[in-house]
Amino acid sequence: MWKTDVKELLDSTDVQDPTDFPPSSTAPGLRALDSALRCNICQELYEAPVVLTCGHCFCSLCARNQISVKPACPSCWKEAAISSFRINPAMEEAVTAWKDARRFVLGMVNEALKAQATASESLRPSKRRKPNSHSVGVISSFASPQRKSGRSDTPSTPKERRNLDVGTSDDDIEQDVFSGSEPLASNSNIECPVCAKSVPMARINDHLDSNCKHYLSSGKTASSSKSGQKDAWSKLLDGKKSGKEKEKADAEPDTPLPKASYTVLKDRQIRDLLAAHDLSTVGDRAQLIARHERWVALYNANLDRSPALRKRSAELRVELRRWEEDRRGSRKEPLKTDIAEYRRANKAEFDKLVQLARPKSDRPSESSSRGEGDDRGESSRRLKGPAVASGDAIMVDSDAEG
Amino acid sequence: MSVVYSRRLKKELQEIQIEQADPAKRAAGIQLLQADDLKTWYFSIEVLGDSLYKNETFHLMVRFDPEYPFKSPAVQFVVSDKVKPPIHPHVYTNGHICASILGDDWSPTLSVMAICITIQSMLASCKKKELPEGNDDYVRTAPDNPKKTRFVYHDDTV
Ligand SMILES: [Zn+2]
Ligand SMILES: [Zn+2]
Ligand SMILES: [Zn+2]
Repeated sequence: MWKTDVKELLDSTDVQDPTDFPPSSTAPGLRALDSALRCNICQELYEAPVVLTCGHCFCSLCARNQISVKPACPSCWKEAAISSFRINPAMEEAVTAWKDARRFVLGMVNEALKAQATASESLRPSKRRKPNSHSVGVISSFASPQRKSGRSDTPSTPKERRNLDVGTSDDDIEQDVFSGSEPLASNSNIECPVCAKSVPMARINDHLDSNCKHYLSSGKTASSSKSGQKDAWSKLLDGKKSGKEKEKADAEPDTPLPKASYTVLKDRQIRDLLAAHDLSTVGDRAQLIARHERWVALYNANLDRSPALRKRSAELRVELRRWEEDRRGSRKEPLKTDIAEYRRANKAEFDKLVQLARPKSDRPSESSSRGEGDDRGESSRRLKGPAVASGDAIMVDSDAEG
Repeated sequence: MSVVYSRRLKKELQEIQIEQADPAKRAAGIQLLQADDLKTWYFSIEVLGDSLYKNETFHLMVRFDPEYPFKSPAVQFVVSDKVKPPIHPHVYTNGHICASILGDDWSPTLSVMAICITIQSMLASCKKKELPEGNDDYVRTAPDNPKKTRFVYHDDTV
């Protein structure tokens, strides 16, 4: 009876972990490899990895969280301080490559095992992570349409792709992607994924940048129908060009924010600190401090990524907001689901656009990464404009992801 | 709890499930009884082999707060008509446990299963069934949540 509850809880998400791979007796090294690229605190693939003085490596944000509780390495208890963090770009690069390779390798391993099992009934595929899905689930997910698109493509190297992402791709591609879609209807409104208010589509980035304060649409409400809503988002997300311009305008400094000594600050001064970063200034003193502390951690942890992988401030603001909502336990579940669904629903559309862009270019297609749902938004964030970036932040860790 | 860390908790749950389905990996004597959400889980704990707690079964309640895994979960034995806490020098009759892994020695790299195993071995190594010193006083004034208690650990082995 309790098992049903547990199953429901786990079915709502696709949790990745090293046991997705067979044990070393069947597939030597794969489990260990997947596990070596994961942070021992959050158990996710490293995000902005940093090395402490003891040599242990964690996600920057995880390590910052730990140090705010106890200034010591959680693995060996040696003293640790944020000021002595060292970034680990080599690990970051390995993780980026592994994110691309993981699903592919998993698929190959499982196909090999399947072949073996067919050949000899005595060799069973190794146990899968989901007790209820078993090997059938793995194999079928490997053969799912998303997978196929990934496999049929010429794989692009992470470096090439990264170049595309930061907007150095030649305009040909973007033009093609553009002409493949309908012209942007700049007068239509969409619902902001953060505040749910109606915002002119063309202004959604600025709206998000303003922390949902500005650019609310006056009269008209957001496209009422669900499909209208999705269309609007789809056009916006495909509008790479505006995104690129935005990115340039929004070049951000990479100096870490200093820690504030809140004890000597008046409420008003803390509000000023928040306002300087376009953050909300509502709440009591404890909330203001918590918000600012968290912002400093998010902001500085983001700087521990390589420049090409950094998130934009607007994304970080969305993350901060989600964090506060989580803490209040008043999270708006439907919002997250809508965006995730939206992305799923539009996957085909994205792939089509990429196909359109392809013939005129020798550049390897990006759809392989797009097809991979388990990238946790990483590659899609890099591939699309800032509007997506903000949307992604909402679901970066979403349960529906994956 | 932030989403990243609720994912982590789901991973722990998944791992426990896999282990329980596989007798070769299962931590003998530890069973997940209930996990309706990511807030409260229940385990049953038995000490197998020779020990003072032979043939006794205890229930452990594990509660997570938003700061998990940076703060340890609140862990206590269930006290009800059906199940009683073990009589042990580090276990109060209200189910509260004095173990350093639940306090100073907690690390976010540990897991719920690590706690269960530690508590099981704390029982297994017990030499004498007796209540903690000052049990009655403690139980009379103890907060509902054992995490609000500042325990002085009785020794370094637990
Ligand atoms: Zn981490
Ligand atoms: Zn260390
Ligand atoms: Zn908004």
